[in-house]
Amino acid sequence: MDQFFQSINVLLPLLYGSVLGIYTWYFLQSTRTAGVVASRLLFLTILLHIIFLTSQGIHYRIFPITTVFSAMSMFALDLSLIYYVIEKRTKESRTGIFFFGIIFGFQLFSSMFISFGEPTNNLLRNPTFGIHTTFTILGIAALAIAALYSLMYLMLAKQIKGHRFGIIYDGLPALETLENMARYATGVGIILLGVGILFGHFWAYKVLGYFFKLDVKIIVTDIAWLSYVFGWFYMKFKRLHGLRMSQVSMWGFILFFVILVIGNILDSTFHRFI
Amino acid sequence: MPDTLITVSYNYQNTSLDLRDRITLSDDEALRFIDAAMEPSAGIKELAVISTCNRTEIYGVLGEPGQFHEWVMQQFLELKQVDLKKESADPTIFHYNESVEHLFGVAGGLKSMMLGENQILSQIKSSYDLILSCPYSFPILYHLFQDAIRVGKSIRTNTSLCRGSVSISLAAAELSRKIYAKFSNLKVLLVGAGKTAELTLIHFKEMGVVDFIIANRGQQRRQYLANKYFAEAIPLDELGPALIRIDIVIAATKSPDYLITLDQIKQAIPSRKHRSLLMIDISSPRNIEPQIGGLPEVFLYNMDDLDKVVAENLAKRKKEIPAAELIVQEIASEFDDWFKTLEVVPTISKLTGYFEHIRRQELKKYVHKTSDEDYQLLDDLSKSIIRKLLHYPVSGLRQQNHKGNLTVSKIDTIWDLYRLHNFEANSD
Repeated sequence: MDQFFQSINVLLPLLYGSVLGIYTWYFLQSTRTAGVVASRLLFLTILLHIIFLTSQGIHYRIFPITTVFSAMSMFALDLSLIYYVIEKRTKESRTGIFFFGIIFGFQLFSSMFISFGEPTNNLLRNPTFGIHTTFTILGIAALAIAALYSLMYLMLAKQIKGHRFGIIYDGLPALETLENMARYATGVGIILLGVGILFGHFWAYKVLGYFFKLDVKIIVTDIAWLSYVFGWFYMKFKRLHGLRMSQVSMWGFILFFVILVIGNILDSTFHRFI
Repeated sequence: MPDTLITVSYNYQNTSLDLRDRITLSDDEALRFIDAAMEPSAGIKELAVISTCNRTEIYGVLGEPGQFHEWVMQQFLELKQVDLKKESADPTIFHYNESVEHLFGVAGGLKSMMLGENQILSQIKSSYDLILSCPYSFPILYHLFQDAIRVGKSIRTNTSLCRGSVSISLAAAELSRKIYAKFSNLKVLLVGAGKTAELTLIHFKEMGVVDFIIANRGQQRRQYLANKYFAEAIPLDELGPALIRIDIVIAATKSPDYLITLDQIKQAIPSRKHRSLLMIDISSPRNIEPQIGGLPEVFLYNMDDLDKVVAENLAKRKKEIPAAELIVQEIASEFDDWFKTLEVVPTISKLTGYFEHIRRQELKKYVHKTSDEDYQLLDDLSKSIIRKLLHYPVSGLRQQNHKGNLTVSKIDTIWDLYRLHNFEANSD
């Protein structure tokens, strides 16, 4: 079985690299064939990635996020999955290049340093842990994608405003499309992260006996989620569009990410099970 | 004798606009042209017409190249009362390969006055539909026009030759594609009701915009345009409130003053909920205060900016010419392969028919001189000899045709050697 895991582990970064290559080709040339090939190869890669993680889970009877590197692989899958759903929904493949550089990087690092085996902490075998982490990582991935779409919006808006018609102008879809994609990804992210957080608190109550703990990561994630919910409704009711929404979405995620990293450095005891 | 393809092309490069206008053929006239070609005396097997404002071209398939150009001129004289000889018209005449590549180039937009224009492909489709609707069968032209349409589509899909607008009004409309995704929801404000404003309105309408507001000083003209395009008409002093409702502004007037000011836009932005606003000023002097371009929500373009867009697009299109030509050559070569099979098939069939005819004639001499069994033996023997005699010439013809070595003169030699031209008359 280890041989099987090792083989897919090598194959995955190669596949993500190929997906990146074809999306780059599509972005630069806009040939329909490239768009179709990229989308189909991505579907196969996602399928293989799901089989890879599921078979690990079944074989070792764990949820396959036991190390930082396995979490990286899960994050790469989640980003790809959310991206794929948005691509299918909007029928717009020209933004793939902006995601698969990052996804390829995550998977490459993961594949280089990952080790397969049984976890030392029995908590990692708990199904609630699996649901909590799956939804949380999916939620963060969706919000990251929304931030990247917002970044694309800002880049394209800058080119149009500055009357510069470069690669970004030629390759990206309309501002309105990018805005819709960001809005959709944010909505999906809020729901998924919300479910993830809820299961986290529920699991903490079941295992540790308390619903909430004064932990930097928990506080930051909860506040970030509440801010996203508030921001979402504010934008919706005030019907704010375009530039303002993109700026809030991008800077909001950067702030969330930076605080999460700092929190992780300051308080490294909680959320560590290995 | 194999058929050949000839094109007589009167186009913007060799014919004046005035003459082009006078020889433009409507569908009815093109049909009459085709009917005339089908008269046995014309000696034309197939005929198609492409007639647009920039070109009138006659594509003919003939057994003998002969006097096709003269025939075409005679038809224009009879049909349009235009004596092309007197007019000293000097069309370009393309023979076979040149003709195929020319039509493919036309379909791809390579031969258009505005490089990479899109309209020509639908005009070629119309010409194809026209020959399909005729009561005649034009197998070579059907194939040629189908391939031309294939070239046109392939160039538009696989190259950027037809992308990016190359006129000011179209550039203005195209620019909005990078800001808005859905045009049916957009509201466009036209400041001015002149020809430029109307042309830009038409481009936006073609892109799917249905909601227009026309603001103009002259009440009569703004109302005329509003009625024509089902738009709302407002006087210039109502511009302020209109700025809250719209997504795109196009200013195209001759007014010496700014008709839309920075203060007006600043006032409108909060009510617009910071929605993006595309403002295009194609007036001279400018009608939109330039400082408006500094506002984050506004994308402001003037005539110079659009000129730059057009120049850049044209340069990009020119870069795509080699890739487009490659597609033309590729499909022209496929057509050539197909066409050559047409050349060799009748020759082989005539040749085998000729040999079979001789065999039967000779065999007839023995029908009453031999027993049935011996006659059967002679029949089998003669068939076998003919088969073996024809094996190398037939397979050689096919191979040479496949390799592209088969010239018209080689085929002519075979027809002359065996007198195949007269064969049908003498055969039983």
